[in-house]
Amino acid sequence: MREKSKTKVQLRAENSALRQQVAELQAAVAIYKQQVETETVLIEQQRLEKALRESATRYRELFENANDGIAVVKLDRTIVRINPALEHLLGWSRDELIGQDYYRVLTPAGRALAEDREQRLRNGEKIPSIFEHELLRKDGTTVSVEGRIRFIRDRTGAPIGFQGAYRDITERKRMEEELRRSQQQYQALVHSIDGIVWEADANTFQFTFVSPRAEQLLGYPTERWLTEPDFWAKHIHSEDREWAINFCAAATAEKRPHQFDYRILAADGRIVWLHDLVTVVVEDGRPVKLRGVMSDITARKQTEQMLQAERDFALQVMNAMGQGLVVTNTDHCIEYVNPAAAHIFGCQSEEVMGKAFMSFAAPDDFPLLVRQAERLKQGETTTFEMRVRHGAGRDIPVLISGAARWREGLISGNIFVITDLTDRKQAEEERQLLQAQLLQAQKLEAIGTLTGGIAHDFNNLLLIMLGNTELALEDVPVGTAAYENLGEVLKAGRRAKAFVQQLLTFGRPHQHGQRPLLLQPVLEDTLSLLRASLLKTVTLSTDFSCPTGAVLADPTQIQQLLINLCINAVHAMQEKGGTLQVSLQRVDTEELQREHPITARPGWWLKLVVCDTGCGMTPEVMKRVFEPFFTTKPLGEGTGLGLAMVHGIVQNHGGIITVKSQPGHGTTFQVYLPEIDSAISTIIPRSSEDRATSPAVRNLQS
Amino acid sequence: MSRILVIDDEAPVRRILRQMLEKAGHEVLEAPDGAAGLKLYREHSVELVITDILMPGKEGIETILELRKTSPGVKIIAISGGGRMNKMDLLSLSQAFGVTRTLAKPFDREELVTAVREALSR
Repeated sequence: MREKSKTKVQLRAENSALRQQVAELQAAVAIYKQQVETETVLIEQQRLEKALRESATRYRELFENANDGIAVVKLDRTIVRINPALEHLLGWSRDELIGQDYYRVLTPAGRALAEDREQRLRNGEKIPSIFEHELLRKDGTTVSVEGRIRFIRDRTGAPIGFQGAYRDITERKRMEEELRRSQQQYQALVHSIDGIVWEADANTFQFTFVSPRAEQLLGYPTERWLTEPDFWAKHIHSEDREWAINFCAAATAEKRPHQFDYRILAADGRIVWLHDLVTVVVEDGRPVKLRGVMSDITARKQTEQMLQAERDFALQVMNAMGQGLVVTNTDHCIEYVNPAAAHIFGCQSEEVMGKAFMSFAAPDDFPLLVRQAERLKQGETTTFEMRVRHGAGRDIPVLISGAARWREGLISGNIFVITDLTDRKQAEEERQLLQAQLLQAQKLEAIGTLTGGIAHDFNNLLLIMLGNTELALEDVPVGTAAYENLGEVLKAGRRAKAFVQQLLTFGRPHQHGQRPLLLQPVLEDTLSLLRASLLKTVTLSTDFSCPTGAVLADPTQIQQLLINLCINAVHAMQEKGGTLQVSLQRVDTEELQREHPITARPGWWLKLVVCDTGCGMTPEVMKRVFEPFFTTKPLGEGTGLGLAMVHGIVQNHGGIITVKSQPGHGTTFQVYLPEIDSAISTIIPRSSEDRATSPAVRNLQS
Repeated sequence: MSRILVIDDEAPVRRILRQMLEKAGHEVLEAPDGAAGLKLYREHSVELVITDILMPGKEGIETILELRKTSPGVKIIAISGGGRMNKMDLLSLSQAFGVTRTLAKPFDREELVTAVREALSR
């Protein structure tokens, strides 16, 4: 209650004092605040200064150690500062460049660019802060750089210069250039490939790239290839679609490069054969892309189809051929046989392939086949007969036509067409056999009728004569004239017996009495027997002086031949007499053929000539002279068998007989017998060709 | 000493054979053809028959066949001077019909005697 006791004045005074204090305190706070503020500003200033200092240091460090070359240039183009990297880049030292015109390190193109930039800057245009150009080095070379320009401004923001940072991009440029060139090359390559280069998704088969050739080849714009999801599958020929897709899908799944041929439909409706060569791009073990080249092989396919058709046709012809066909290579190994040829060889075609053709020759005909093959080697064609092996142990006669097989101007083997002559030969042999049998039968019948009839009675008579003489001789004293006379009868009887024997055995012509024989002695012996019985008016003249080889002959038959020819000759001269000439010469085929228009096997021949100066013959008689029972002699004088026998004997010896005659100018018989080499080849023919044209047969036909 | 039947149509031939065979000590019966020969054969005991092949009447081969039929063991010499074919053929033919020996006419005494001896000794 004490305060209550203070006065208003007191209170007023106290109030004013308090206000004074507050004001003082407020002033003190304000001062304090100001002090604090000033201190804070100072501290901040110090901090800023420190930061500035640090920043400058950092900047300097960065500037000095930067990888890029840095230059600080005033607006008047004076270079103020460069860093070591730029020194290194340009080859100038710091001292050489500072204070110099910035244009000094610019190429003319660089200067033009810089001027342009300045101009644009002045026009207030915005210019890119990053650009590429070339700087000039101290040594005069240039260096490509990427420049970054940053303007340095004063407090008002007005540019006072710039800082250029330059990075050497020579390597990058080179790589870019390389890449560009490589891309160009790649493109050129893709364009130059005569096929569609393509890339597709490995899962969907949708194309992601096709070369322009695609459009040229098939007529579809490339966009369709790339945008239509099933473009490929849709355009494959319906017959190829399923397997081609399956094939490609399977190979892709196996990450396997593959190639295949299929047909595709072109925009104009053509069917184009493509060969597709595909590689599979694998990433992370999974196929992601397919890349490939499609080539147009339509022409090739057409050629192939044509060739195949031709091959099929040829094969059909060859298989259908009745004749055998053998194709060999240069080593005479069989490369092809048709079924007919395999049949001739008695094997399956497969068994014959690869074997030497020569191995199918019958052993005796092997040299012949070798000889013929030699001729083919010279490019000749040849036709010959031989025997070939038919399976085991049997040989069959064939006719072979051979020709060389040419390939690119060289002989690449031989082609043989083989005709089986078995049936033909058999028929021929049968015909010949039948003919021979017929002739033989006719002859036998004729001779049998004659000799058989005579011989039976004759032999009975001879038995009676000889038997009685023999018995009588026992009763007559030895040494008496009767004994001697009976002895003569016995001798004559025995000769007669031998004669009849000869007559009987002659009926059967055969070769088994034939042996290598020199003709001269046989002829001389025979003539010495004949000489005694010659007519006085006939002179015998012989010439056996020519040296000759042997012939394959039966001496008895040769004797009979000469006797018969001489008997005929003498008979022709019995009225007026004359000269009987017998000679033996040696001639070759050419000479033989000059004299007689006949074919004869090549070689040497012995020519026996029996020539008379008798009455001769008319052409009519001459034609029939060798016919059995044809005779001009009066009844009872001749049998008409003599010359028929001569003819038969000549035939048996593989010989040829000819006759020349003119009425009133004598007759000449010429008998040709093959000398031993030729004779052997006649009896044992080398080939059936020889057999078919052996002289005896020829003569028979002539 | 054997009894031999000679069949031949030629009497002079039979005569020769008789003389030759008798001189060799044999007894000889003669027949001019096959029929007569067979009759004699049946009537007498004969050890050897010598028969011609080509004969009129009953022919040689026929005679041989009949002889073989009646007495298979009979010894026969076939003789022939040849015939329609030739004598070798006829004689070899007769051999096929089982004759013991063959002899071609003409033959001498020695050939005959040897043949007879050989035929008898078989």
